[in-house]
Amino acid sequence: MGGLGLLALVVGLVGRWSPLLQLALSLVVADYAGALLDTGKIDALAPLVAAAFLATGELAYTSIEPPARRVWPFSFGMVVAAAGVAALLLGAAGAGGGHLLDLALGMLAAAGALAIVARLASTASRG
Amino acid sequence: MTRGATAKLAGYTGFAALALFLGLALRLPELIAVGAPFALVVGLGLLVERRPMVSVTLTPDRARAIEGETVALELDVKASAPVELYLRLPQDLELVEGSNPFAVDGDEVVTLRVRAARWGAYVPGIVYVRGYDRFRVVRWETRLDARTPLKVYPHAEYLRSIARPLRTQVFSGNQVARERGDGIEFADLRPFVAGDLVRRVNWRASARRQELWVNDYHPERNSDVILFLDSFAEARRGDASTLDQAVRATAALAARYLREKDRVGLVSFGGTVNWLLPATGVLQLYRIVDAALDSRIVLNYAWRNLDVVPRRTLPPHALVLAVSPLLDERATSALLDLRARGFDLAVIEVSPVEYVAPGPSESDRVGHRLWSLKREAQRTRYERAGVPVAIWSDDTSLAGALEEVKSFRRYARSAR
Repeated sequence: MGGLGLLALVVGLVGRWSPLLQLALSLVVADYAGALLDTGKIDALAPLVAAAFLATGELAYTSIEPPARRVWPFSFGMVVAAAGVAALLLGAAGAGGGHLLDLALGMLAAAGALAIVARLASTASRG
Repeated sequence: MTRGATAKLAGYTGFAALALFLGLALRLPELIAVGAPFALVVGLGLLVERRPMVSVTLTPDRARAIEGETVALELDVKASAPVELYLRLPQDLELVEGSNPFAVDGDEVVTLRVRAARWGAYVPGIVYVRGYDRFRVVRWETRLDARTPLKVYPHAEYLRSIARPLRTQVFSGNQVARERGDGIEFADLRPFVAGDLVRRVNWRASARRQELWVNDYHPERNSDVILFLDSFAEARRGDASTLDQAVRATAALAARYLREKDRVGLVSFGGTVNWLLPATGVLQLYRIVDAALDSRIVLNYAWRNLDVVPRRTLPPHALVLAVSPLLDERATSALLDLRARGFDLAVIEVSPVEYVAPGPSESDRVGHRLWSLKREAQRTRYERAGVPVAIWSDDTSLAGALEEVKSFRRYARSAR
């Protein structure tokens, strides 16, 4: 499945066809899920995997819709932040005894809170 | 501005949803940790996005340029957020310096240098604007109109001498008139009559003949020249066409005749008819070149004759210098009509033969040969009517074609 995902990624990049990129990421994450089920333990490297996924997504979508201005510093910052967020979530999952629904809700709440803060900050800077 | 989602928005949303679903279904917190950053990127992108306010002003460093010259186009962009812009350039304006598309962050002045590869009247300034949010999940697009005219004049051909009209007009100019009057060019001697100026007396001739004789002179007068640009049809190969050459010739002839203080007018005779009344001066040169630049081949099946040209455009005794590929019967008939009306006419034929290669088959070659013979016959028709036809092709210069006209007119006589 991972190989198919890589193939879809290559074809999507060469053909500049974005639905294939999404399919590629989905196939690889499904493959990752299968690997996790096999091991049965919490993967300590998951934050790095999350960062790798986001880096792949950023590179892929940037290459099919290239910006006229350099965006790499910001993308790099996003990837580092992704690793941090993933580590935080995994830590929270470990401390909370592994209640996944709580974790998912918590993640969504955190995303929402961050989004509101960002919105307020952007409104303030506009004013 | 039009708001739209990028491919990234759909991709990241789908991926985050899948990872979250798999994480919950398979009880794998790692998948939630993997999907969370994608959900965050989408959420933050949607919340911080805002419509960028953009305005663009385009200023060329000059409004007129010569073919082949480089013109700097200065784009004054005022933007409330980082945006990407693309200036749509006409086909014959080639970008030589600067990058297009380009990005600006806030208010910036961007200079693009373009080379005008071909003459023409251009109006560059359609600018496509695209802005993204910081996370590039939402896209804003619009098209701005900052059009500014830019006129590119053709290269002037060097003309050392020009064909002179047979008759001059009443205003002073550079051409020695056939009539006699006040001037500096000696014409003849004649006996003194009452009213002659004493300073005109030729004392040597008077002493020899024992009576008063005076010198006669030719006055220097100007003449009227009408440039007749045939825009009914053209022969084209790639970027070059007979109309291109005709416009170049018109500009060069107008400049040369106006330098001689002649009055020059223009009749652009084709699918659309344009004309300029004869006048002198630099302003008239700009008017003529501007009118010639606007000449285009407009397909029209209507039969046109000289009745559509205002009478004042064709003053009596004017030299009508036609620049034509002699491809359309309407133009060739109109020229013969001009000659029949007694106008002093000369034709510079912008040869279309170089633009039309014979086909590969035998019948194609025969057809091409017949066409060439038909053109020869047409030329003979003109010459029989006393109209010189000089062929201007790639092998000859415009000056050479004019010399041909001059040599024909040296021996031909004006007939009515």
